[in-house]
Amino acid sequence: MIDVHTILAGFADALTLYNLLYVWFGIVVGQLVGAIPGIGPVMAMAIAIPFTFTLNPLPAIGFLMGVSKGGLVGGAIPAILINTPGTADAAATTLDGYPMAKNGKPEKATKMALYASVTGDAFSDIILITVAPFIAVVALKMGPIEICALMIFAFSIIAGLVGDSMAKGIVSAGLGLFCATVGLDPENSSPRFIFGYFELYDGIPLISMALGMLAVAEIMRRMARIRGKIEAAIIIPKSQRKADRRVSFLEFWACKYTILRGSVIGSILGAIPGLDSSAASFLSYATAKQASADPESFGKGNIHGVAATESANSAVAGANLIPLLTLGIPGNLAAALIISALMIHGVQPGPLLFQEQGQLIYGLFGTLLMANVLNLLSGLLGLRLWACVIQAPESIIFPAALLLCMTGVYLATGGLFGVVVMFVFAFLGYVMSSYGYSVIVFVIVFFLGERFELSLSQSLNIIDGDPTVLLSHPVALLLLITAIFSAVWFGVKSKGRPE
Amino acid sequence: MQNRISGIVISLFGIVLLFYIIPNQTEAVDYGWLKPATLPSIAAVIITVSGLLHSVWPKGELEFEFTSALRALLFFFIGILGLWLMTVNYLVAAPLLMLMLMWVIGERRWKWFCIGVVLLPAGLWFCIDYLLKRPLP
Repeated sequence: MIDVHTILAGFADALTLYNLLYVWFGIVVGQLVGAIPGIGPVMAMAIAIPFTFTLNPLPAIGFLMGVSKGGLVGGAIPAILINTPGTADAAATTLDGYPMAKNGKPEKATKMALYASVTGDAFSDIILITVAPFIAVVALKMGPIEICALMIFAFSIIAGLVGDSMAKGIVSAGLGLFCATVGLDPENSSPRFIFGYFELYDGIPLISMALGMLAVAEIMRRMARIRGKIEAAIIIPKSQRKADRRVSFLEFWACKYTILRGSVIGSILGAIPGLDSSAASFLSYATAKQASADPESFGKGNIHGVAATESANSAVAGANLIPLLTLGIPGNLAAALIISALMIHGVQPGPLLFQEQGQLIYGLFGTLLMANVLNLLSGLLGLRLWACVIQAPESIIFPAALLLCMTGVYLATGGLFGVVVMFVFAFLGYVMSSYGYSVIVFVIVFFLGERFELSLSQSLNIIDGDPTVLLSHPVALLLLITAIFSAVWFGVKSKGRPE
Repeated sequence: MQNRISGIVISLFGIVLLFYIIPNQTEAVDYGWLKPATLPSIAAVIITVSGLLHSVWPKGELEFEFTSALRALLFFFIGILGLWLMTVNYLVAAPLLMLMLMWVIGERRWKWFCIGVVLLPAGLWFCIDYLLKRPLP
């Protein structure tokens, strides 16, 4: 276990003014971009990663976590004001948030969203801090065979849970795995799929792939959809009653069980790779409605509806870091970007992280807790301000985002080749998402691909052609059997309707 | 039907990977359990089989719309043109890229053109090249 000195040193690092300023800046950026429909914190994180290269790992990751947390709060603004969620996480918030705005209470709804979001986020961070070190201790006892089996299990769960067709999920996983093999192979160091480009010897640049698939593809889609008159995304109502502009303590306290339930649901679902925040928020909304004495009022502007969805989607953020930090498995896109940022800064996520980078991990934990306080303060001061600032038209927002992506990738990869790769993956991402193939599965499997190949190589050398060796690794065997069952289960039960 | 066709195209792509690209782009090694072509071949088989299964039992929704795809293609071309211009000079490429994108989207207000075409590229250049001393193309 980590000694107290390392833990305190980590928390001290988190409390430095330098670190807090970067976290706060990240939160401001996150709240702002979260409030712009179509941009969202994931795209902002992807764009921001290259600009964090010059920073130390803690402020760099703190900044990105700030963008992620701020985005969860900001995403509720357009969901409540114009019935258009700024992020997919806030989709369920429209159910009661928008009716509240129509009833003349937009500020009450946004403030409840802020309070519930910060409470859920803080709850899941505390779960992360208390649970993650113990999982890491268990994970350290795992050898290459168990790690390999765990990754196969993670692939089967991710491919099944993300998207509406198991076959499409597996195709995405296969494509991600194939792209991860570009470059030198880990066992023989022989080049693969280079096509004469020596820049590909190190593999496909992570940042080019991530920005292309996640940001540029979506920017192209959004620009292509703009038709006719270009308008501001947000329209703020002119006048509201004073009592409708605030959430009293009694109103917040009345929602305590709703928020707690949402936080628990978000924390549990967030710890499972592949389940995103929107699943948690819809589930929390449904349970809040079931538990309510007045279920008929849900969907007509019930403040419990906003509290339920926002506490759940924000609780996913902290819990997502449990598999990431302990096992090195990213649970969703934001976590995949955090893992890439950690790797770019020379930090390898996984169980050894707690032993080798204890101070950084506890610094990150301290940063997450402080980020919640800063998120609350920034939200209280800025919710209305963000709604005003983001009245810029889409015709400038998306071209600017594209220019930032190109500039960021150029800086990160040190040349225009990385930008070319970004456009290739942007095209692939556009085609894949148009035909319903999950980009999330692709990106997560791509990130895990290199480690999977290494652990597979080590496992095959240990097994040495004798599958009975697996019997002496019951955990690995159990994981492999579970992976097969989950693949079959999701294949049979996949929700998509036949054509 | 489009869903089914996408499955067929995917499985054909998997076959091309398996029988043409992988043999030509990997070295043949006769030792070790995991050869350079092993994992790519596994991935290609997964792609082929899943694509085939999807073409037989198509599921899930599509977001493909022909006119939007054409417009997106136009924006891709503008982006690539901007990339080509960057080989000349960033300060030439960035404003031209912004101008073309904003114009094609339908923006005609000079105020937003000033911000997008002049202020934003100049601000980026100032922050990155001048303040951070990181050279731009």
